[in-house]
Amino acid sequence: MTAARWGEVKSILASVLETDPGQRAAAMDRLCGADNELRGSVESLLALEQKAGAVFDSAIAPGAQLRAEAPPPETIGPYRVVREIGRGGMGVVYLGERADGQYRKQVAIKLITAAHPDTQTGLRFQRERQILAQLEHPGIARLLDGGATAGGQPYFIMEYVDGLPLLEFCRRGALGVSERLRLFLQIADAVAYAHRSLIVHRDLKPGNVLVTAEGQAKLLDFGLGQMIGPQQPGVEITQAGPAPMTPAYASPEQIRGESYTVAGDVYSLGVILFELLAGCRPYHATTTYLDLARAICDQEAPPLADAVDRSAPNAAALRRHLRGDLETIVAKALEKDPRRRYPTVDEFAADLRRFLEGRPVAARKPTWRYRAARLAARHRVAAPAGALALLLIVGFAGFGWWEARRSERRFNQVRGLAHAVMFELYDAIAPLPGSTEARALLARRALEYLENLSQEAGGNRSLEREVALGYQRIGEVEGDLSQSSLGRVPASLESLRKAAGILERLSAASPGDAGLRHDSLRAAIDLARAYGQAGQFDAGIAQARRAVAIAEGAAAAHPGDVVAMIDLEAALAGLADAVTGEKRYPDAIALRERVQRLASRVAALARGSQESQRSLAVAEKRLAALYGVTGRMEDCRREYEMARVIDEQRCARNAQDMRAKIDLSYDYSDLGWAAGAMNRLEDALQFHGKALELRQQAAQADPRDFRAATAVAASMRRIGLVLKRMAKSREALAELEQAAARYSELSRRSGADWATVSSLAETHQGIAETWTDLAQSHTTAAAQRSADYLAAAAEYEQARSLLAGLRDQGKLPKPEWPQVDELASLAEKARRSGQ
Amino acid sequence: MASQDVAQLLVRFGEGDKAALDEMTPLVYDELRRLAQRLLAVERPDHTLQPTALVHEAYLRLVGQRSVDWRNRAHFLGVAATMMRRVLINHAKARNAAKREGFANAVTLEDAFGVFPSPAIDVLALNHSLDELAKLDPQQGKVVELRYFGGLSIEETAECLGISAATVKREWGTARLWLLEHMEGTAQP
Repeated sequence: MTAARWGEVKSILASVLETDPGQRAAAMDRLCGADNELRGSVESLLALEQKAGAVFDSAIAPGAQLRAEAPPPETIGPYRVVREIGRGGMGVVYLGERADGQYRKQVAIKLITAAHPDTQTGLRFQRERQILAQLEHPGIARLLDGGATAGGQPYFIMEYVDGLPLLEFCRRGALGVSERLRLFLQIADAVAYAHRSLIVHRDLKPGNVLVTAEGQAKLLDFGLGQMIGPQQPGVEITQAGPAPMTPAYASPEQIRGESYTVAGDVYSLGVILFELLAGCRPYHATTTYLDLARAICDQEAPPLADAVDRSAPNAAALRRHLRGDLETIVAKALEKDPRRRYPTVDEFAADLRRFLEGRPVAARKPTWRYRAARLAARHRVAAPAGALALLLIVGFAGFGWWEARRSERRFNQVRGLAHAVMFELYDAIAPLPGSTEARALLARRALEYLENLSQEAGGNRSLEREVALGYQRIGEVEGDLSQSSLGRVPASLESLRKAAGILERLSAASPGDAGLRHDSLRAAIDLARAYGQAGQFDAGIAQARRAVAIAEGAAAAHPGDVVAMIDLEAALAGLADAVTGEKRYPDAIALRERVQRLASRVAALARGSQESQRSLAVAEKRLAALYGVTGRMEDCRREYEMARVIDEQRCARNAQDMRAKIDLSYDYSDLGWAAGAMNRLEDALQFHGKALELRQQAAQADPRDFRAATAVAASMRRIGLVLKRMAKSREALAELEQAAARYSELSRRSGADWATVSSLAETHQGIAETWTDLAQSHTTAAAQRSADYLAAAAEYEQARSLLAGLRDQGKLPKPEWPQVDELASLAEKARRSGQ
Repeated sequence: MASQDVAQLLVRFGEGDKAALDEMTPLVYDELRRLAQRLLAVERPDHTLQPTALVHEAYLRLVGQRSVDWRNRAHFLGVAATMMRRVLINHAKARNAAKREGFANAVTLEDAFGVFPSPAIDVLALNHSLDELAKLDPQQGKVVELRYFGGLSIEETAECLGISAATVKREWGTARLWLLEHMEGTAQP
């Protein structure tokens, strides 16, 4: 059989298979005509139908058996799973109840199995969730809670809606046109409400609308798209595409992967309305995705009335009803060019209301000029002059309407773009190795837009908040060394100060807003830390105290609130860091013990959350460090070991998690330090070796990652110093020289970062001491001894001049000042010994 | 298996680099074997082996693989289906060889894979017929592979191939008939 012949047979066979058994003979008569051979092929295949069903039963096929699902989890977060109620591309939906028996409330639990469970999305989830949790509208199923399972899969707890999907509700109730329109208006109002909160849905479709027995339409999954779907333009969007897009309801610009704005939701609502009224969607997806995409982007949607299935009962009456205004309204929502659609969902809804009340609608049939222009635009190569002329005419014709909408449009566009860049692209690439530079660039670009916006915004609070969060991100990527970053401390201070200022003002204006309070606190804490990193310690302590006072107030006002606890934890940790910088260790230990207690409470409450596990490990380590510097070595070792256990688990759970790897490397490094302090040098060497190995992996993954590169140098230095103590001076020198070379390169890279320069100085000091060891060793000849001392002197001098440089620039912490003189005298002593 | 390698290969495959699939095959196949081996090793000797469950778990781990991001998931399901097909074929061949050589009772690792529930079909004959169908109609061949060997639902298959669910249904429905006829026509006596 040839491919062409099989194609013929297949298409007839498919039609016949879909036909009732009684009418199959007639169908074959019609489809095969006089071609007896064709008919013979179809009939002989058809005869195998029953047997084929048994042999190829997909339920017992090997694949199906293998993929048989695991039973549902018993609990997710604090909720007990009652049963599965749905399953989709992103994950599974369960009916759930509070497991702790506080109150029996039914909820829907959406377990995202398709997302990329990774710890860095934690904070983003938290932020976005707080924004979404504020959406309170009868037409929107509320987002109640969210988190991550022990396996790191995100889940969302939503209001449970007992209802039918939109289309089924209409079908069962045999709803007429005006009833359908009223139902649609409920949906449109809910979407418009969310747009006013600057949240777009992105995946509007009938399946995301449930209608209760009382006839209340409820939108599901609002805003989940933003949280789950890192959308990267330029990535092929075939098939699964960026998570939550349903091609049949997607706008042309969404298909093309452009940034998503309000206009995209208007379009998707247009498709829903089309389907509600005509009974089918404007573009049929009977062929491939590519064809569908092409149709959505290039083809004119058919007039609404023409799409009605002629064989449907009352088709003629329905077509008459849809002809005219409704057709025009739907067509306007479905315009290819987002600028030609209704600029807002409110205006879309208002036009439908005018239609229902029998008043004239605002949407106009496209003029002949417009049609001609479109035609000409499509054949631009053939008729460039004509096209240009027509476009000019159209330009003038549409001018008035455009002018009226200009500012609003621009606002939406810019906001959409800035939002996409700052909160989607940025997050999407954050976990990728090698992305630091790209993130800095994105953040800077987005800042330009944000600054323009903030000038235009004038009192739009939700926008101002976004602007502030934008500043904060720029501050983070430019300066915050505790995340992977380029180490540009001074530049980030300015951004962080702006962010903190705006958020504090906003939060003071609305004290009941928990989300704002959280953002404001975070900004305050970040700023305090940034001061510390820039060497401005007094300002850092003052800022940290302020943050603690705010956080304590919030935690006291909301007992049991995990977010408030985490915020307090962060504020206390910030203050602890600041006083540690001033070497006030007993104060710092008291603060850190509080942090550790809070962190373990939070980790217990947020069972399985990766982020809270990490926080606990960090809290243990920071406390351990303080025990260490105050000589409580056994306490110190114990805390480090606890952190190591937690981080090993984190690494085991996700081998890709670079941050967990770096964290673990710190655990080993710190254990090495503790072992060294306890005089267990072999152990120390082993721990540092493990740390170095992990760090080199991370540094290789992203050569520009400042933190990883610094960590590699630090490990080399520590190994060198342990070797030195083991009296293996030559090996020690080799390690230390390598460390110095790396620090020196890093200190040029980051410019203002005092910690790097001071580490370099300490490394030179280590080298100097090793030379001194060599000089003093019994086996060294006299002539060599002198040379060794002079080498030591040169290294001491290098260390001194580096620290003196820092001191003169005001960047060296005051307690370190005496070191400069000490190094000078050491250099002098070595020089004299050498001569 | 270095999951990062697979992730990169998936990206390349998604970008149209067909050679990536071939590079991925040994990685994924090895992973299935490795997981099965490890699971066998921890199984107590007095326990009845449940190889289906073992492979089941291995497969779920691959399919549910976290490191593969969701955009690539459809690709991944497709690759996994191809892999399952190869595993099954290899096993069927190995079992036939064992029978010829009189090792019918030998419990090899391949046998761990081997207790696939497929008595209804001669896998090698199906494989041959499916190759023939794919020559006539590549898309239809892929539909069968995904549905039958990969266990993908109609919707997942549609997503994976970028075609509509209705098309998948038609392809699957007609392919079954063609395959059965072809297998019966070419069956060895």
